[in-house]
Amino acid sequence: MKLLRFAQTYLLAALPFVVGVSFWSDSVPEGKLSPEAPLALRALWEVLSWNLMLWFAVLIVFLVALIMSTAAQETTLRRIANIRDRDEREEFLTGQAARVSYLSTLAAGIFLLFLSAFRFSATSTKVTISMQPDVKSAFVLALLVWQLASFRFAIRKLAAD
Amino acid sequence: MPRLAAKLEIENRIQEFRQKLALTQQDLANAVDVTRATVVALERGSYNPSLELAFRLAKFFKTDIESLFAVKK
Repeated sequence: MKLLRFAQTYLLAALPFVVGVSFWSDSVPEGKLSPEAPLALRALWEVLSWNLMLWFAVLIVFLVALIMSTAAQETTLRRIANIRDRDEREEFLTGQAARVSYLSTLAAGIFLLFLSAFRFSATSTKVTISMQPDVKSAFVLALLVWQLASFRFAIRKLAAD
Repeated sequence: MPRLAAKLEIENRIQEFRQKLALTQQDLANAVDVTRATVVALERGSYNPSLELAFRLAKFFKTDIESLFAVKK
């Protein structure tokens, strides 16, 4: 958990540098500083580039932990969603809010799936609807399946406890 | 599939018991380990406590649950 908190803090603190170096690299031809550039500038470029790589590595580990570990979800998402359930009523309210947010996200997901899987074309005489599933719709579908499966799994686990 | 039972409307005398002891809502909240907002919601009748909290409240007021909570007629 300490490692996770450290990762959270690092990801947040280093984010401005990651964004900064991304913008900077856009203005550098072929992503390489010229050898005639001042030493301090080249050193800064090196440090920021290594930081960028480390940041992405930490981000991947952090996201995997977030999907796999309930404890990681608790500590991180509570901070992001500002969940403070200090007693049973606040726990109840959190549950109600989670229900509303789950259903609305599901509805939005189904809507997005519909939008990405179908193509609409209209002329003055007819409207054509055709199905053209692509990678985007596959992602949305996978997300919906994940959402439904994880909900059912959580419900079964809680009911069994 | 079983149908959900009709919701019972429950009233309580938490405010009355608290005022008898000249306690603030914060005092009661500290005593039964909840937030002041929860005490406010309980007194307003907008939140029904769990059985555990109901017992904690009854124990704190040295009374039984039936004296503290009743179904609205």
